Amino acid sequence: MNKLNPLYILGLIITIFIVSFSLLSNEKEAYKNSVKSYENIKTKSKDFKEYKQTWFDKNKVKRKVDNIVKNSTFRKEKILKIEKSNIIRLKIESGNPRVLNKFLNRILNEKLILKKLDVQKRSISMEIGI
Amino acid sequence: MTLVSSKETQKIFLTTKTKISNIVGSLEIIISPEYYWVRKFEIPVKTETQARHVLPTLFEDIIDDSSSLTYQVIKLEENIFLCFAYNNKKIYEAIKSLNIPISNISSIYFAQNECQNFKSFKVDESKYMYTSEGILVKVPNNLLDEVIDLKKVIGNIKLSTHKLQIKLYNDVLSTKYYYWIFLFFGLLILMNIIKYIDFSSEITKNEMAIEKLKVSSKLPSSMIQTNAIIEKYEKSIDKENKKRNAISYVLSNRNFDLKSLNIEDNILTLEYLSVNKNKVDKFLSKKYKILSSIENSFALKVRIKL
Repeated sequence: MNKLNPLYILGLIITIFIVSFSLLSNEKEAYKNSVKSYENIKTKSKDFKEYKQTWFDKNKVKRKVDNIVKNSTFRKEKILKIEKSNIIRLKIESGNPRVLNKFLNRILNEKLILKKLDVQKRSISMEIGI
Repeated sequence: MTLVSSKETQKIFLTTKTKISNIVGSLEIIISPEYYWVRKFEIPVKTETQARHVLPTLFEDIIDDSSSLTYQVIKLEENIFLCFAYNNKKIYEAIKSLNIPISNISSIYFAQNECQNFKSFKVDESKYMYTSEGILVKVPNNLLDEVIDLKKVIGNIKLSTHKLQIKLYNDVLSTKYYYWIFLFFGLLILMNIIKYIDFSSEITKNEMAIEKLKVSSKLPSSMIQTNAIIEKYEKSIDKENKKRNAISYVLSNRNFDLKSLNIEDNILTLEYLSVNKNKVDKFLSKKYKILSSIENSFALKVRIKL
């Protein structure tokens, strides 16, 4: 004897189907978000790494400044370099405007944080953040 | 205290004239021959299931429309089967018309198997007897004189194990269609579960990849910190680019004699010698906001905001 109407079982199965479909939709949305989140973090980590290794790497900034100062073009010029905990003060004095121009170009072409810059006819002084 | 329910069980003999006034506890229903056809057949098969397959053709000679019938078989001897045919809907409607709650029905039996202790009997002003072949039939009332009233002894009947395989509900679709629908939805549910598991594992993989990326890139533990640092870096880089663009723009015009250039806190201060103030202001104001422009003897001092 069968008392249970199959329509009830059908109703139950359809309910389970709707619940499973809704759970699946939520999970699909969560998956899309996780992919988006992964891509976002990938981009951010790339930017973070790049910024850190170029503009904000203390040692690299020091090396860049040293390379410019030790360059043969400026070896004969009067260059003053004072290094502090978070800045490097740099001053070059020269009667040759071409040398000063070249020095300024070298500084501006490097990824350096220029806190202050003062360009005069015979000298250039600056503060570089490290 | 007893472990077994002591609820009363009521037995009723269901005929087309049956009326029930009071239902107490569970019900065991014996249906009269009015609700089924029964025949003995010799069928050369071994099992009841095999015999049931051939039943529709065997009943064809006495039943016109066999499509709505349900068949049941009881094996009596080797190759001898007691075969029943009944209309499920008709019995269900009869039970429903008596307002018997379905939940109260314990089991339903064929009278054929349950009344064998009585050769003949009467119920609800109808008389029944077993034929010489052992088949219970309803007979005209004047054919039998003194017969036992089954209602008085129905409580003493020891019921057999041969219950009706009846469906106590209205069949909208046939069982076959239900199976197909169940299978269809079952497959969809299974597919959903598989996809769900797949998405879950992908999410876990992504989370692990994110953690790995954070460690390898030495990112701060929280995204708020990371975003704040990146924002700070980008702001500084943007400022630096602005400074370089401004210097490039200022130096691009060689018509003006630039004496000095100073950058501090986003302010660019320029000193020109022997220049036309209006021309300089016009040139600089094309790209930048002039904060002040002061002419002093031969020198022009201009402050612009980056």
